[in-house]
Amino acid sequence: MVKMKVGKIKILRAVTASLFLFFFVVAPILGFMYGTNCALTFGGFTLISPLELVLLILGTKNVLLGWLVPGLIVILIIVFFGRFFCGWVCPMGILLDYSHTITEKKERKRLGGSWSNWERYPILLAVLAASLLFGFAAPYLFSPPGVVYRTIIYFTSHRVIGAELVVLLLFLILDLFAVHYGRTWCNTLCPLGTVISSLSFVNLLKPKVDRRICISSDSKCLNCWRVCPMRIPVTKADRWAMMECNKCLKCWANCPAKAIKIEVFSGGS
Amino acid sequence: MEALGGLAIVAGAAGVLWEMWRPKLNPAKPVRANAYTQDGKSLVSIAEGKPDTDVETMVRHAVDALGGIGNIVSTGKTVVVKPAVLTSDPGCAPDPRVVAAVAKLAKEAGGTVIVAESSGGGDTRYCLSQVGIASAAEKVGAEVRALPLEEGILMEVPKGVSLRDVRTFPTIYNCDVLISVPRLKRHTATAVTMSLKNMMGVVPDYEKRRFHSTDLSQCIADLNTVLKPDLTVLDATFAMTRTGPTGGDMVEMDTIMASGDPVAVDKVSAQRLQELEQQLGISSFNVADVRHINAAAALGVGTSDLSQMVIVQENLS
Amino acid sequence: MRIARREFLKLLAEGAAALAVFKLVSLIPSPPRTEIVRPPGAVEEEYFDRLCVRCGTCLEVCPTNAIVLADFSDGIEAVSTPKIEPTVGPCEFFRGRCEDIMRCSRFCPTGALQLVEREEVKIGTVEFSSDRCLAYMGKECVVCNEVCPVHGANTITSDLKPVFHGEKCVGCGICVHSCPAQPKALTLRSKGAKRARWLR
Repeated sequence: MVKMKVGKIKILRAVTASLFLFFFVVAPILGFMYGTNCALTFGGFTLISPLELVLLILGTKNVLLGWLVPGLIVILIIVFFGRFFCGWVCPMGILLDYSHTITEKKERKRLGGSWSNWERYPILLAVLAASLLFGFAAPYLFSPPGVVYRTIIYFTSHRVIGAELVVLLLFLILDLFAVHYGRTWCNTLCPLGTVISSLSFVNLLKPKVDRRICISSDSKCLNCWRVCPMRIPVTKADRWAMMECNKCLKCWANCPAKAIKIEVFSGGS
Repeated sequence: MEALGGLAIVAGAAGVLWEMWRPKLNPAKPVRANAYTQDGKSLVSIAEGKPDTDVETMVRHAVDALGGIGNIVSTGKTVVVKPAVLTSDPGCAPDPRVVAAVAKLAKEAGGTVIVAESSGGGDTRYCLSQVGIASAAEKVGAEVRALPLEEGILMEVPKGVSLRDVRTFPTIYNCDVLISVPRLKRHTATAVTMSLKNMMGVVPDYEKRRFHSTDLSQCIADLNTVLKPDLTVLDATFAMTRTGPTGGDMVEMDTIMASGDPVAVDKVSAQRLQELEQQLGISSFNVADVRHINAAAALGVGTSDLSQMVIVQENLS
Repeated sequence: MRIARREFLKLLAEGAAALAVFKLVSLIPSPPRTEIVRPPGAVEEEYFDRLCVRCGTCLEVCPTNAIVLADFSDGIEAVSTPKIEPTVGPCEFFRGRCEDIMRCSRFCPTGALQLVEREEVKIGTVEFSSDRCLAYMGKECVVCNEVCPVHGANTITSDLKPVFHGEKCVGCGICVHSCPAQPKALTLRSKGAKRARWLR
C-alpha cells in the first residue's frame, strides 16, 4: 500500500472537487446538464438533493409524488457512500480545509468550545420547521455547496459577482475562528451534512482500526481522533458515529502504526 | 538611487501597459471613387419587372446597366455584402434572393464574398437565419458573419461634423469592396432608411446608441464619409410604407435599383416612395427634408441633385 | 449513543433559538417580493420562493442572458431566485431566440416556472421616464418603437415622440435593452405581471 502524505491526499480531494466544479460549469455550456447540487437536470430527468426535496415538500405542504424516483436515487447513493460528497465534492469543504491551514497551529481562544456533534440536529430541525411553519426560504443560503456553485456559475455566465459571495466569505471567516479542528461548520452545523450523515446506513469506504496493531492502549496515541475533521473518535466509534465519516483519509494517513485500513464493504466495528 | 531606479521601471512598465491597452486609432482608409459614373455624373439604374419576374435577373440587369460588377470586383478581392437586417422580421430585411444574387455576381467576378451584418434589434445570427438570408447566402457559397462577434476597432473620421472617430469591425475595415443591400423602407425617426442608414449595421451596438444620443442624421452622414458602399443594390420588390423600419405596410413595387452613389440612390428611391405613398393616399414625407441625405450630400459622400445624376431605367416585363 | 438530559435541554434551547432567529430574519422589512420581475411562466409569488430550489438551471438555459439572480436588496428570502434584468439581456420569448420555446420554464425542474402559452404571458410593464428620453429632448430616436415586437404597445406622436401603452406591453424588455439614453429612459416593472397557477 503506497503511503501518501496527508498533503497529497488533500490535493487529490481538492482536484476532485475542482473537477466536479469544472463539470458543473462546462456541462450547461455544452448543453447536456444544467443546475447545481440542489437540482441537476439532464434530458428531462432531474436529480434533487434530499435537503432541497424536504424543503420543497414542507414549503408547499404537499407530498410531491413526482419526486419519488429521483429522490430515492439520490438517497440510495447517499445510503451507500455517505458523506463522500462532503469530503471529495463539496467546494466549501475544500475551502475550509485550506483556510484552516492559516489558523490551526495557533493556540487561541475560539468560538464554539461547548459545541458538540449534536448541534446539527436542532439546527436542521429548526431549518425544516421554519420552512414548514412560515415558508422560510433562506435555508438555501445555509447550504454552502449551493452558494459556492451558484456564485461561480453566475460569474462564468454573466461575469458578475453574486451577492451570495458575502455569505460564503462569512462562512469562511466564522469557521476560521471556530475551535474544532478541521471543519467546524461541517461537523457542527451543516444542515445538508446532517441529512447526508443521517442516511449513510451502509457507508462504504470507512476506516477500520486493526486492534492488534493499534498502539492507543499502550501509548495514549490518539492521532486519528485528533486529525479527524468530523470529530469521530476513530478507535472507539460505533457505526452511528462512523456515519459522519467524509472519507478524507486523514486518519489512515496519520496513523503512526499503520493500523487503519479503509474497508470497501461494511463489516461493523 | 534605488528609489529612482524603481520609479523608472514602474514608469516604464506603466507606459508599456498604457500603450498596449489604449484604443488604437486606425486611419480612415482612402475612400474609393464612384466606379459607376457617366460624364462625371452618378449613374442610378432602375430595373422594373412584374410580380413573376425572376429576382436574380432584375439584379443582374440593374448592375449591368451601371457597367457591371467587374468595375469594382476582380479576382481575389474580399467583398462584403451588407444586408439591412434590423430584427428577425423578414419585412424589414431585403429579400434573400436579392442578397443571394448580389453575392453570386460578386463570386462570378472572382471575389471572396462575406455576408456580414450587426443587427440593432436582436441577435444577429438569429435574425440572419430567421429572415432567410443566412441559408440563401450559404447556398451560393458566401460566408455568413455575425459582426458583433468581432472586437470593434477605432477608426478616424476626418471629415465628420458630429463624429471624430467611430468604431467598426475588422471585417469591414479590411475588406476590398463594400456592397450595401438595403430594402426601401420608411422610418419613424429619419423618414426613410435605405443605403446610407444601412451603414449603421457596420458599427457595434454601443456605437449605434452613441449616434442616437448625439445627432442621428449627422452621424449617419459622417459615417458614410469613411465607410461608403462601393455599390448599392436596393431591394424595392416590396417597399415598407406608412411607417418603418418595422410594422409598416408592404407594398409591391417589383423594382431593383443600383448605384455606386449611395446618396443618389437614396434620393431617387425616396422620391419613388413618396410618389407611391401619395398615390395610395398615405400621409407621406418630403424628400427634400430628409436630413441624413442632405447632410451626406453636403459632406461630399455623393450627390442629391437630380441634375447631377444619370438615371437609367429598364422595364423587364 | 446516550445524551445527558442537560445536553438535550441545551440542544432544545439552541433549536428554539435558531427558529427564533429565522423568524426574526423573515420579518426584516424588504420590498414586497411581488415587485420582483420573474421569468415568464412564474407561479404566484407566494409559492415561487418555496418551489424555487435555487438550482440555477433557468439562468444557464436562458439564450439571451436575461435571467439574473436576485440579491439582498430584493429581500433575504428571495436571494438567488431568478429575475429578468433587461439591461443585461431582453427576454425573447415573444420574438427572438426563445420564441415559442420559453427555455426557462421548459427546464425548471420544480415547477416554479410553468410552461404557459405565449399569449398568456405578461412578465411586467415597461415604465417610461420622458425626462430621460432622447426623443423628448429633440433628438432623432425612436429605437423603442423600432424594436418593439408587440403591435400597438408603442406608438409615435406626430412630432416623433414615443408613447407607451402598458395594457398591450408584454414586458419582454427589448425596448429597455435597446434604449440608447444614458441613463435609460425605460425600466421594467412587475406591474401587471400575470403569474401562472401552481398545479398541485
